[in-house]
Amino acid sequence: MGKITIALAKGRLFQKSMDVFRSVGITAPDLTEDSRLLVIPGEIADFLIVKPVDVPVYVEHGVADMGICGKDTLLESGANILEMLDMGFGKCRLSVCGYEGTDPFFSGIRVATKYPNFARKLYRDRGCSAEIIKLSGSVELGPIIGLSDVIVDIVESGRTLVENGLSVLEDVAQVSSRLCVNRVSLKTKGDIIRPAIEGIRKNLEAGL
Amino acid sequence: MVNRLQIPEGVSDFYGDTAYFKRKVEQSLRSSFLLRGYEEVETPSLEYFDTFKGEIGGIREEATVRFFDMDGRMLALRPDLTMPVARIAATRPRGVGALRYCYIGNAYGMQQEYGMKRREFTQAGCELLGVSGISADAELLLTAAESLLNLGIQDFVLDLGHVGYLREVCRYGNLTAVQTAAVAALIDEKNEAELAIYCREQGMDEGFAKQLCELIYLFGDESVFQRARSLFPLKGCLAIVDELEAICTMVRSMDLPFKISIDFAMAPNLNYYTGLVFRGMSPLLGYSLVSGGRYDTLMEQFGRPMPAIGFAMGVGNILHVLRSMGALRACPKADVLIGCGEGGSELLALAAKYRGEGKTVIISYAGDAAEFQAEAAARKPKKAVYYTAGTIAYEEEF
Repeated sequence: MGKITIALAKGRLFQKSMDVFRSVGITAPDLTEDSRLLVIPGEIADFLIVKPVDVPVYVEHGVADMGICGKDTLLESGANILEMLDMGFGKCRLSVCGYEGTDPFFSGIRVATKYPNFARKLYRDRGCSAEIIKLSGSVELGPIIGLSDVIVDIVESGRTLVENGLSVLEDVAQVSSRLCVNRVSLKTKGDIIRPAIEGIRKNLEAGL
Repeated sequence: MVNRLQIPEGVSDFYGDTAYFKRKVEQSLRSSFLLRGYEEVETPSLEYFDTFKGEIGGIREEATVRFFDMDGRMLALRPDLTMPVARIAATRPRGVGALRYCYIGNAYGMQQEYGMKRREFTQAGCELLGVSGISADAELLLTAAESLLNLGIQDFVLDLGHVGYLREVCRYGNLTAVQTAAVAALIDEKNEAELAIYCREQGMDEGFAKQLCELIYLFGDESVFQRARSLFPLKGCLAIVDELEAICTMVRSMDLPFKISIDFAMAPNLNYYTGLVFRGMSPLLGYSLVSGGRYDTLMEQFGRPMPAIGFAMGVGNILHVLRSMGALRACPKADVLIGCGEGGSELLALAAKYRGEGKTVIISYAGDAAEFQAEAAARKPKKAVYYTAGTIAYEEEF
């Protein structure tokens, strides 16, 4: 029997993602988030620990057969992969945020975001012309320093927003972590992947 | 200053071993196709954009390289080769029996998909027109599969599906065209979570929504046929399961070394495909090697309705798999490097003599034996021969 490769996202999803695979017997002895190893070898699967935005990239190209990442990342990537299970954790929202009273969808709006592809499509679908400004972090700064009118970002508790005097103007998508699988791997390495997915799905249904 | 060394993003030069093996792969595919009576066609790279437009099989405008002809009509670099073949099939005399066309050529796109930015890619494919039924389906499937086998690719999965099953299910659920398209897209990406949400939002029957979610898991080995029968025991669905099982049995009866898997949740482009759909996949590559299916309604758009089925494979993907298999080493060395102190007609005559023996000959224009030896050492032909005054002055084998 062959071996598969799993991409795990660093950061807030890491621990729970690792537990998901461990619950179906797929793990590796040295699997820790701060590992210096780029590829962590295990018996059934090797693990790659990567930046969350890169999970769909690895999975789409098939260098990772499966992985777990947020729906926000998938919406932004537009990767042609199988999005098989909603893992239920890492729940948050993608929202348009700004100063209270700002119209979230006016023509000519300036939008700062880490999700430029998603934002561009969002505004285009609403027939609203928008100038999308891509930032890599601290997006909340946008409206505060006048770089943008609003931001499109994930909102978990909303604390950062409140602390900076901003609020959610409109929720535009619900986010949670997803198990995604390469289209080819599901078929060519189905002997390992299918039972794993089945096991994870059963655990989810049992509320584990 | 203009940088004349740049080439546009998404296109590439082929030289050395890559060019050699690309041609070898194309030759192998060509002979596999011709052996089955497929007639090779060559169509222009440039066509009217209208050829690729239309309700069925229409291509997204923004994904096509387009520009204007002198009379203002819009032109496109062909985004695929099925439409040009369909155009040919519609313009030539119908003749008797099935039509078989094959092609190997470049297609162009503007697809800026995630991580995939190729704008020129070589495609090889076959189209079998004017005939429907499971034997024709099996013939085309086997043509695709045997073409891969002839290339030395044995370890692959032929994944078979049938869009008719999902179509029947959607009809049974009284889904609108928009709903059917949305459901098909979610089922195709096996997105159970979003499908459940969509069904709820659309106010679909809860039991039906649950069955739709189960449909996602109708993939795997041949036990899928039985599961497909019990999930939706509708008359239309049962007929389609029987049909796919019969095709599968026919392909299997040839006892070839590849694996077969079944997937009723494979629902690519319901607008275009009308029956069998399939993909060929290698464990060495994250994308399909070959994909195809039945498209019985396309020819109507070319004014000559007839059933049709076809497949296309990406030559680049095939090369990638062969390279990963270690099947591509170095292209063969020249048989002979030949040099001659006197040069001129003497040299040409000697070269012709070797060529007459069926050997590949490279002529060296080295001025003396030492220079010749240096060239031989760099080129490493199978044999290097240097003549002076009609006799061999230096000879070496590599």
